[in-house]
Amino acid sequence: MSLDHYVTLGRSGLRVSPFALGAMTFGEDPGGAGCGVEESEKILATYLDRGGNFVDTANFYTNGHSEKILGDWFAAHPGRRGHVVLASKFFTNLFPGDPNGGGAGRTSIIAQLDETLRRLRTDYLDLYWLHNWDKNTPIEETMRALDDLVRIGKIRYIGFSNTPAWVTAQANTIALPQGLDAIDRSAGRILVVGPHGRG
Amino acid sequence: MQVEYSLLARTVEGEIAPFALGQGLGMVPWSPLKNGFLSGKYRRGTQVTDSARAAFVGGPTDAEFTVIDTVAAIADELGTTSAAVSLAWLRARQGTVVPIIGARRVDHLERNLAGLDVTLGPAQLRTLDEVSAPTLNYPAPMHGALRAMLQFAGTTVDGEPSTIYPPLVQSDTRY
Repeated sequence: MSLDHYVTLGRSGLRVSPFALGAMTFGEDPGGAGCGVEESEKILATYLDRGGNFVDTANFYTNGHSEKILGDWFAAHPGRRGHVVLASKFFTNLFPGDPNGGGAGRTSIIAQLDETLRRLRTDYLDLYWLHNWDKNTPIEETMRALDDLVRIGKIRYIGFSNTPAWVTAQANTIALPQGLDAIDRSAGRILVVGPHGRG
Repeated sequence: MQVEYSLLARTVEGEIAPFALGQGLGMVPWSPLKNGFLSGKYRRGTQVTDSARAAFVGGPTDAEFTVIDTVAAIADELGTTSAAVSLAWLRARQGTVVPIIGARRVDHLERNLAGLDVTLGPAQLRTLDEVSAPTLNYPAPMHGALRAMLQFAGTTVDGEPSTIYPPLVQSDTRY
């Protein structure tokens, strides 16, 4: 087995290396226990040269430096980004004092993705992970927002990390086309309930 | 959902209790006194004579006695029974929790029903929560204070306070 003997990730059309490269250790900022930019780039280049194509990071790794290091490397190496499966995660709030700075509500997901895409210097993610369970947000809202981001091309696949089985099962059921249709119908009903009562 | 749930059996809090709360399902715990271990008649270092179940289930472990002793101390504080304190703790859980009480004699029933009149204070609830804290399987340990810290960054949301993830304080650089 080598890095260029790829596997299909679950029931999807996405082909990835048998090992993903974790970028949590890219950057020497607080919280990461990582290495400097130069060593990070060598690690990334070595992984890619061996045929690796699956790179994983998150918005808050090394306070955003991890994403920036990846983004800068791909910007400096034209033609490479389109051939990797670039994954990042949302949930963690980088804005102390702002209750909407993290989590899985519509507003916070969109804002977190914009910041991630800016640091990664790309206009889409191949895979976007929910990093933890947001128990204060309806899963329907999270899935609707993520599907909207898929539809406009900013993300291509959705993943869940560290979530309870029952939340994940619920989300997976919603992810079926008829599940998303049900959310649309339900949202339609909410829209007609205005300040003047039920319309 | 009918589940085993008591101060001596809390692993239901890993998946099923949050599921029930999230989906609006009631929980109806069986064995809320853990085979009578929380009834008040079990004391560390003494042999229980008045038990029909001890022959089947044995006695409490040392770790269980730590919880049992704490329950007994709070019962003394409140002038009630250990059974009442244990059942009041279940009634104070989030969501709808309706324990199934079991009795072999009318006085057992009375000692259980006393739990309806017991209201545990925040400090007593905290003491009981802490002394009986279960070891939960992954990912449940990530869904407590760690989740609140990472999501809410020092703010209080829906009554739950949070802290700030320390690396965000240690450096202002965000890239």
